[in-house]
Amino acid sequence: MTSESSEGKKVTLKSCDDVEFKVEIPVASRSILLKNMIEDVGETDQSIPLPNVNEKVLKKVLEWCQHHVNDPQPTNDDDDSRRRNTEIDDWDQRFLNVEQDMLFEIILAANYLDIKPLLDIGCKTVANMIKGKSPEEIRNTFNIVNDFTPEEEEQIRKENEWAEDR
Amino acid sequence: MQFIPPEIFAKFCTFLSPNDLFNLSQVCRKFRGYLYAPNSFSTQQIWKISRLQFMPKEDMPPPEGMSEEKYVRLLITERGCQICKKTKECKIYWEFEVRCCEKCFLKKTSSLFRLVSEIKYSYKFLSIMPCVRVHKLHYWKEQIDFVYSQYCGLSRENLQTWLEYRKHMLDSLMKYVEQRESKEANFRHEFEVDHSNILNFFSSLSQPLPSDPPSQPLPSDPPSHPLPSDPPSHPPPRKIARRLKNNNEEIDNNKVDILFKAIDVPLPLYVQSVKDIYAQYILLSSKSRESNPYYVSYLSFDSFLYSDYIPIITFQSIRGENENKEEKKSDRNRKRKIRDDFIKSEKKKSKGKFYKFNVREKNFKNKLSYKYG
Repeated sequence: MTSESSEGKKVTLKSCDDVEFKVEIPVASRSILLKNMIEDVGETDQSIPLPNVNEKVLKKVLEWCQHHVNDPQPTNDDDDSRRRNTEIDDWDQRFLNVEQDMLFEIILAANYLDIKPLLDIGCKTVANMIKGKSPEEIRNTFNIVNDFTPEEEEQIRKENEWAEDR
Repeated sequence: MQFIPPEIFAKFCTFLSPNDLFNLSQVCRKFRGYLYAPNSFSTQQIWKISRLQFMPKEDMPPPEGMSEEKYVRLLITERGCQICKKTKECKIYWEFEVRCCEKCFLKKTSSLFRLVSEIKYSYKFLSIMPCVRVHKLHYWKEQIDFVYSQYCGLSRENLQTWLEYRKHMLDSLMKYVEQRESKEANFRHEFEVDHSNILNFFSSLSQPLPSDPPSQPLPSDPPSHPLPSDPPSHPPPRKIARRLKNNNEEIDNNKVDILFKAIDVPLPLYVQSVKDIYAQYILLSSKSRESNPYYVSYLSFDSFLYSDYIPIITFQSIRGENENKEEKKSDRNRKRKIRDDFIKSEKKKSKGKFYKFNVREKNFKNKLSYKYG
């Protein structure tokens, strides 16, 4: 008990596969969802269930929250500046250098937990994977099946044909 | 990726350029659905955000009734003609919602005369159709056919409402085209001021360049004088030179002598300076006529007088510091040669940019590709 109080207040999160994580409140508060929940419920010994997030992803997300624990909270009005800035800092880049499925799961978790900065860098990472690629290259990158009928494809090709430099 | 919910997909799109969005829309049905959903606010939002972010100069909203994706598609002028898909040089015709080259334009349009005399459309119908004036009025054939089929299928009671609606759309469109043109004209104006060395040069011709000696006063400015030590009543040499020029008088030492009897500056020097200026002008204008036909119209005698040649000549001749005059003169000439060459090369470079811009209707080249990217 004594050791716990010296470490600061903690909250217990439970992933969908029933794994519990004890995290400090400032770290958990990176998620607006959890922040609001903690504020509403107050101090509690009960664990907060997160039915949409599994252990692996939650661990990863909490790692991000721990690293960015002292970042200023994002405000609504910096939406534009945030969008214009397509740079991702080195740590985040390394952090998101994961398998594609994991990346999308992190994005979904960030969306669910309402962690805007994490959602942003996730989306930027995906956007960077799309940028400058042809439709076929995008399909290959993300393992997407081309489900257009030949007629549709012909139609789309015509629509998007343009005068190339020659 | 395919299991991503639409709101997250829309988030990806906020970081993508219109070109990337077009590519993305060709990947699979689902993405195409997200990016081309008719009447969907989120779809419009995706394209709008992308346009504002990646085409910052295109901050005007699309014309009434045009979707964002169609608007963006029209705006990507570097994709060339939408009809033949071969010609790079093309122009956006907002009236017809198309971007095409001159050849395709003529192929796809009909003149008012033809429509009335050969196909016999009523004026009532044609008055609600958008048209473009290129020497004569042009109507887009396919548009005419399509709208005419609508027009013919209308019952009598619906006709009036339909006509009113079309009229409203036409007015709104024409207003839009006007706004766009004035915006583009403003933009061109800024562009010319910022980038045109020619225009800057000619407008500053009557004044010395900043690097030159202190500017000569204008004749309407009596207190200042080329020679501060001179009494203000003395006519400056260039005034005399002008009088000589105006009267087509021969420069005659005797005559000038009489003119300057009362002047206590060493007279021969004064006369010499007048003669120098005049001779310089004759030499220069004949020279520049040979080398550059454009130049004549800009180099009037007056502008010559107040150009940067005079200060040095007058200052030096009046003060009698003739020793380095020749040297300075050749230096001037060298500088002017450099400038002339520069103007010529600039003119060559910017020929299309400046001269064709003014002929809007003939100008099928859309030179505004720099606005994108």
